[in-house]
Amino acid sequence: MKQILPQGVGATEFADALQAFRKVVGNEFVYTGEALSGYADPYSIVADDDAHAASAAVAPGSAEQVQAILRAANQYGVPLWPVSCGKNLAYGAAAPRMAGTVVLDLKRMNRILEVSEEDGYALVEPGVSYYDLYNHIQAKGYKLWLDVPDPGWGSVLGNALEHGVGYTPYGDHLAMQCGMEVALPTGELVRTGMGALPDSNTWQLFKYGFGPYLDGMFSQSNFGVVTKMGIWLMPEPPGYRPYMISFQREEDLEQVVDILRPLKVGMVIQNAATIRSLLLVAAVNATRSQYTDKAGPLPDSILRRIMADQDIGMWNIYGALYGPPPVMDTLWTVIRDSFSKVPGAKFYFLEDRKRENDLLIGRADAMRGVPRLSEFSFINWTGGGGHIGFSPVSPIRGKEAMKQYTMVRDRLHEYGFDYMSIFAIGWRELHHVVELLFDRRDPAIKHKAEDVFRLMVREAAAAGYGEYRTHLSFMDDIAATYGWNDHALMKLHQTIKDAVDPKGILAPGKSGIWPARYRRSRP
Amino acid sequence: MSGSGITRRDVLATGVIVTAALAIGARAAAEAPAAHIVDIMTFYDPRFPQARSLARTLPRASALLGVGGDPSLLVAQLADRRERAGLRLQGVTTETIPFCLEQYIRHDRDVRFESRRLNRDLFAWSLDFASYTP
Repeated sequence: MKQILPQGVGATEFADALQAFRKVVGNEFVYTGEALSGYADPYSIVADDDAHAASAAVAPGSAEQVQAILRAANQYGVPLWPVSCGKNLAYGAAAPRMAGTVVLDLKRMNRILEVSEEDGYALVEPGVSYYDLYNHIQAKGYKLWLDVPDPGWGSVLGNALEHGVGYTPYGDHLAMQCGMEVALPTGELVRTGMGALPDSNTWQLFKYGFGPYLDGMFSQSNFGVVTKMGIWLMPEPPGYRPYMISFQREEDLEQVVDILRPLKVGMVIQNAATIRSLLLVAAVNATRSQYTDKAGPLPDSILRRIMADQDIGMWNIYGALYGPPPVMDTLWTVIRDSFSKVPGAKFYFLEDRKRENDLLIGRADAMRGVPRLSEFSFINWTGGGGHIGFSPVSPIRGKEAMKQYTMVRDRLHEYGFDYMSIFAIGWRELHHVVELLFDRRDPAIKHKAEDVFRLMVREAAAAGYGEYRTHLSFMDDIAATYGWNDHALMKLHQTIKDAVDPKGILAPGKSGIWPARYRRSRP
Repeated sequence: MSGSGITRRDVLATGVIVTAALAIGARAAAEAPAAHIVDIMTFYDPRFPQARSLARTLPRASALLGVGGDPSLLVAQLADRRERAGLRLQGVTTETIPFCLEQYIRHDRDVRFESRRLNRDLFAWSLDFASYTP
């Protein structure tokens, strides 16, 4: 495996930096050569396989070691790319934005420092996965639920920092974060919120402390390495009832979204409910070749066959009720009556979905915080394993949802891809997460996927839709769309970057934020 | 769904696939220190009729275990390094299973993983864990 040095760093400085890292963590936790294969982007969409290649990786075991590595990186000018569990798969996994960057792998920092059953929180290090925290809670018998995203092997801390979401009422992970410890790029350690008060006993209880609220600044950014984070956990409710509602027609999406908005904003729908498209649900149990060997958009006859085979709709809501049974009964009455206005709507509880691997079974676990990997099944639809998420945000309005749906569907069909998506309902917004599936071994398909993705970014921005998260290869594209007032926000990001990271060593290019040293010649 | 009625073309195609499955199985077996592999679990995807017969051709495949596309339980069982010492997992399944296994073990240096695509839907794969070293 060839080694790609970071731009602007000579071989001698690089070797000296690795030697300094070895002094901090020991030889066994500095990786080069073949040991770097685990840091490659498993779904790289761009033609250049080296575009996001790491030059080395270093795995500290403590915040003190992180500080020491940052100081050494400053001394030698070597850029670092922090990752927690490295499982941000559809967005680049553990690979760095800029080729040659050294991955700062925080996987060894995997201690669950505290869980308070009484107050409902955990304090964790970056390497703690959802599986780790879930197993710990189960082993201790705490009456607490965590909130998990679809794949359960990711980092609790990393997912919150990337603005990830889950599916219980605590689904907005960054909103449920409380208190951070952060190593700044120059090596100083700070604690945010109440954590700045020596001997504080409210670090994980009150987010804001005194003065400016800074925690958000360390999310999707390159302003610091978060070494500890508090996360609120949901007390186990006295009752739980997952449900599914299917809708038969494409055009039902508009009415469904308009019904959903007041139910969600008014908290009748308690959790982060999702509307899933036909093929995304179908792909959990079937493959495309079981229905056709022809390329191109699936005809209506096949779509109807899939719906009948799996007893699913063109659109499918997955949600859950939480609370004492009388409360759940009342909420369900309102929800059922509201959606009954959509002709052909069908309602299901878990006991109605007997088929092995039915998606509601997996969703039932996800919506009560049990980590799984079930959602990966959809990659079998076309085979080839690659997928990236195109994730524009809109108001929770039926017309907006239909506009986004038709825009994206038509483009994907034009380029030969199937439309598969989730509309995730937040507090006031609709995340339209479109899964673009491609064969990661087929350069021609990858090229098409890259082209259509960039086109959709531009078209979405022109229509007023911005992405909330993206793959490494598109960070500059997305950042450029947030350009109001002559890119005033990016200028502010750059001002902060230059202040906290004067040598520009931390995560160059993250979210389109480049340090001064690479701003003019960014790769 | 398709899948009913096997044609001559299917039989010929299956022949090619069996050869590929045998090749990956044989190669993995040859590279594994036999003494370390004390237990073999062989999986197939019951949704695909071919998967069962192909899985039977893998080395030392005895009892076959059905697994759909959901890797959750399989991956969860691998958490304990002591329990997985000397274990081989192998199978003929859809891609989710080998993909997730590969991602799960990608920082482990004491495992060997191989995977090969057999047709549009199915993959033959094997995953060997070395002895446990505390």
